[in-house]
Amino acid sequence: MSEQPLTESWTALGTSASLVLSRAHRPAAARTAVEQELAAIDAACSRFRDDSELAALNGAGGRPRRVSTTFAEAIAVALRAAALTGGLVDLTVGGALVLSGYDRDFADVRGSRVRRIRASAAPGWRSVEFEAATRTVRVPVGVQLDLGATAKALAADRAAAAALAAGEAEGVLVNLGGDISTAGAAPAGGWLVRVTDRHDAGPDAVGQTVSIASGGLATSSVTVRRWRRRGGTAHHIIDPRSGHPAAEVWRTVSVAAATCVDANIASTAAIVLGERAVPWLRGARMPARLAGDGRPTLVCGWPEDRAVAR
Amino acid sequence: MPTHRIDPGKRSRARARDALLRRTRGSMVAVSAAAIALSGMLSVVAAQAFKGHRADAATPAAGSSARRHVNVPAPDRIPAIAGAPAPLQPPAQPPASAAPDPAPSVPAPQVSGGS
Repeated sequence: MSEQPLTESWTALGTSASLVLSRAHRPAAARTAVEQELAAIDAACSRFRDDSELAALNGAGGRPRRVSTTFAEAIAVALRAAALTGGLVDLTVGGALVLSGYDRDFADVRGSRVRRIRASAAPGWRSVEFEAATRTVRVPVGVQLDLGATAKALAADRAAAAALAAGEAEGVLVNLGGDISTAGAAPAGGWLVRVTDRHDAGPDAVGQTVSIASGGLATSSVTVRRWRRRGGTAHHIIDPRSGHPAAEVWRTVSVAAATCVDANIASTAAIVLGERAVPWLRGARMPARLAGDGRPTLVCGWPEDRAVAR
Repeated sequence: MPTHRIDPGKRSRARARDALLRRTRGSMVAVSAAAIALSGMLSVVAAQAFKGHRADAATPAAGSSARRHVNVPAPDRIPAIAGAPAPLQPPAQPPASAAPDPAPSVPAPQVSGGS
């Protein structure tokens, strides 16, 4: 067993994946467990794989489908997110994303020709029929689901729990493109996290370094996954009420929660809510850092930055 | 003029053969009638057991354009989410400022940003 923390990084789910282990007896088994969880989520929830369960459901022509336990959990998580946010984090924005131009893997979207932005309000999460007992899902004809908002966070939570068990570790942190989940005991001094605009920025990027002892932390930002379209630029966080990319009141919002899923729901909703995000986060008692123009707004005990902002 | 005398033994065998042919013919008629009757009975039983589909209930072939018009239950017939969902859970404790000089056992910072 290594006394020093072990960190491994690779590419998965179209983004970066990192696994940090504290005092692990079986680090290789922990890595394997994480990879298996990510593969399961990808096979179930990818919008860009023709053979995913999501693709099959979106193409089911309105017929109900029985789905795997993994996909059923992802649907349940997405519906809970929609219910808790009054539909601001809505899984039926798939069609709106396609209309706005995000209709293929982002590496291909970024390099594509400039097109006019079109928009259509999301059909709404209440149009999705889900029966947990039989794992049956039906979406109306023409409705396209997108689980991007919550599936990656769910993958982080599942992977951290799996790595802790398989690796016989004291503590685990999983980072999937900025969606962070921890399991077990944190090392002395906690898990250090640099919150910033982009997940692929280095640890010295403009932002703030905080320490978390447990749970999850997620950051949503309108500065990433942007593409040029006729009449302006678009980004990937859709306001379901209009079908357009959300208004850019906040550049980046980071939220800490008991799980990465809950942190992600809150950070995504905050971007969509704009000015109303601060009272909403206070009402939910979610510690958050909202970065826009000027000094970041800190709520519910998010600490002040000790360092001078660079 | 020569006369033909029929051997009594041959006459007896001919009568026996004729009798056998008559019995065989009778058996064939009986078996044919039974087969026809049995076939009719089985047809009735099969028709009762397998009702088949109404023409207006037929589903279009996969991939055909008609699949867009398939009859499906109205939205929300199955509740989209049962009961009140569990509320968002804050962390056990909020994030803390990172120590300026973290201990060697503390892993390097992970980056959380938009992706």
